[in-house]
Amino acid sequence: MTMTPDPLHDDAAPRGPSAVRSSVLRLLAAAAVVVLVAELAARVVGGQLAEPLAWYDATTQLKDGQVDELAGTGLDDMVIGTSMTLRGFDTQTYVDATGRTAYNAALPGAVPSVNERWLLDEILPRVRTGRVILGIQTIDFSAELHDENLARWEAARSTRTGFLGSLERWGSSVSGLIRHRQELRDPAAWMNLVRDRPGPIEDTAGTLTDLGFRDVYVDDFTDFARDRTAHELATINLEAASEAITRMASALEAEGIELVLVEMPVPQAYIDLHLEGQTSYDEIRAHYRGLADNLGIELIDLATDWDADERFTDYTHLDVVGAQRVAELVAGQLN
Amino acid sequence: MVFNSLQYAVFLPFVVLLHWALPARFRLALIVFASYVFYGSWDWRFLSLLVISTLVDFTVGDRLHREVSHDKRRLWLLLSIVVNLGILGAFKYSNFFVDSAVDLLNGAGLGPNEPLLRVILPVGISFYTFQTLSYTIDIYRGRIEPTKSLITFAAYVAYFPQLVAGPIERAQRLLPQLEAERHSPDLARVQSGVGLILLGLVKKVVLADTMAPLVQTAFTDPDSQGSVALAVGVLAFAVQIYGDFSGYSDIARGSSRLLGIELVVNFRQPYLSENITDFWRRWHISLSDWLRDYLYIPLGGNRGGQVRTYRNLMLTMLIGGLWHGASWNFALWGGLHGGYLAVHRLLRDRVPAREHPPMATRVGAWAFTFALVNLAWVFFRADSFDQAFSVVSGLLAVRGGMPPIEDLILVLFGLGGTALIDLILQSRLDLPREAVRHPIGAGVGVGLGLVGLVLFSGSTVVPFIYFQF
Repeated sequence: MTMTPDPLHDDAAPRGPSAVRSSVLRLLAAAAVVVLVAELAARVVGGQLAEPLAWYDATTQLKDGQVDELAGTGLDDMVIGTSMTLRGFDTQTYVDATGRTAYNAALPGAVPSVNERWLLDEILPRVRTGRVILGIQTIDFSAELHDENLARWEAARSTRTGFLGSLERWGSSVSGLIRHRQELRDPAAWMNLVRDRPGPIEDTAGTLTDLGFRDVYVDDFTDFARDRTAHELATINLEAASEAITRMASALEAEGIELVLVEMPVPQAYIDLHLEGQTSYDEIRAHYRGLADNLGIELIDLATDWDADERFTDYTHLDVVGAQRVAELVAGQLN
Repeated sequence: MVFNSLQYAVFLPFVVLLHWALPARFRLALIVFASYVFYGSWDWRFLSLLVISTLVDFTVGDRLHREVSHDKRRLWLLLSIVVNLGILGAFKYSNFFVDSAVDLLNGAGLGPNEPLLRVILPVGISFYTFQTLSYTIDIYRGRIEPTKSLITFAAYVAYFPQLVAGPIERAQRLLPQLEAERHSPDLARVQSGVGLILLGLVKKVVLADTMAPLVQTAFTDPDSQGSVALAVGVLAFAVQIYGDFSGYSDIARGSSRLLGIELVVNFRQPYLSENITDFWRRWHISLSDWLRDYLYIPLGGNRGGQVRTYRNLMLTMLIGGLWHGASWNFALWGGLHGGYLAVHRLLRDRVPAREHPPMATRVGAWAFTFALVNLAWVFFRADSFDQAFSVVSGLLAVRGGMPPIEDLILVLFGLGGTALIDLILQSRLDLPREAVRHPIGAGVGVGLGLVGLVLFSGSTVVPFIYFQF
């Protein structure tokens, strides 16, 4: 049996504890200088790059600012959901039709597990509301969207929980390297700087009004959009979304806030993307309708009799006329 | 508990400090306890497998040493092989048979409840199974004597720095180190251990994890990707798998060095190889050596003529592929490398190599070797045969459509970073010693590593790829 030769000690290495200590001190000093120089550079360059993204996405970051502006005030209705609701519910139309105050807080990809965190942890502690309107469709039950988007929510600087979350927020408050790291490591941010293009947050601000989205969409019935949506609908996890809705309903009930589900309209092309087409679509619908029944939640069905597929700009999103019609229909039902 | 987690950042210093604070006679017990905690943090139920392997092979090792009858010794060895490979087969390869059975039953319209049949794979089972097997086989061959201490053997089987993803240590290297009275490490050794951990983290967090989204994009829907985008995905995977696995090995070696135990070097800049045989002397060295000593040579090695040599190479690499998991993709990956090795051996035998080939020849040989390795990686990474062939056909069809410029920048960053680290390691050979000789240069390297870690961390922890094996 042979012992491993010692790789660390040879004639050229410093001898004696004090020589080694001095060598280690010089190493640490050099490392500290490099870190300090990088920190200074990050502060200088970071300011030129895009605004740091601290939230789940750019829309959320902007909406967080809007929720801050609403803080302390009371709203009659708070609208939440995915981008189907963000783009498909025109709040101004709803406000005009009902005379109530409302805010569209829906976020892209915000399936119920994400909405639960957004609504309960971020919105309601700041803004009082009497009713929550949750836009829902079968895509809310996508396992892939649940896994990916909840992970993204939990990884975002502002919403990361636990010790690492606190460390991250503290670090970003004292260090430019940490504050700007997402942008510093992203070639797209550097390219935007070189091309003098807006960053994601500034870019989103161009389309996001205080109540929803402007009508700036382009037709997107592309193969990519079809494949992506079909992929999202191919993995369904009824349990995760149902549990999140149940927890939200319970928390809202405890606060005396009414919860209403609005089943968002979809085009036939969307229904066809389900794993077994209409059959799968009907099964998932039956599931959340049963859930609403069990929880005693009102469900407004805008999907069954929807007859304006031409109002869709892609497989899931309405144009502004469609969004106004949805708002009118919801207003009519709730009035 | 993974190496790039907060838990490990607390666990390792605690174990190291306690290890050196304890009297020498308690240190092995601490290593065993800490290793069981480390492994149990995934799923404590699988600790029973470790204990079974430990008890069986300790007993078999003792019996093999004492038994004089050749037949009985063979029976004892057979017991060790059956138990170890039985556990490995039951947990690692049963899903392959379950899938086949489910397909068959579905075909017959019976539709079984697939999830109920699925078996969870215990992390690192392939690694510690090979490690324990080498112990009993070496005793059987008379190469080593068994350890008399169960606690020493338990530490050998479960040693946490290398338990879940290697390097696969041999008893004749690791057992003497565990048995020897170790003295607390001096500052130079601590420095080098921490340096190795930092290097491993940089490879994992800065290089491998940064490549992951590019790989995911290319392999998720290869039919919709252009050839350049697919090439970016494949190259990104080459960086990812190397950074991930060699990074793990560096952290393992660094962690172990802090406990006064040297682990075997598992990677020696494999992507700088100029032929495929050389690649396999540099990639996952502990597995290559294991396969050579316990499979290739017992099969006859290169002793039975050319045809038998090629057959043995092919068989060894096929089994090496299947060691990663029961799938046709791994088999084909191993088969491709077996074929590469056989062809290289054939050419080497027929065309004598020049002692000092010109630089252009060396660069061409390097590029060709790297391309072959990347082609094989497609089968390793793809989720299915169909997906792998979609990627390969997309690469060969020269489909149009460029990926975003950002993706090109990222993959060049990954390749450049990997090349830089490997060229430095190749030229300096022994970074720990250089760090002691040139502390300022080493400090700059450490500083850059820390800056890289700060910049590229902060999102969710990405598990190591080789944990699934």
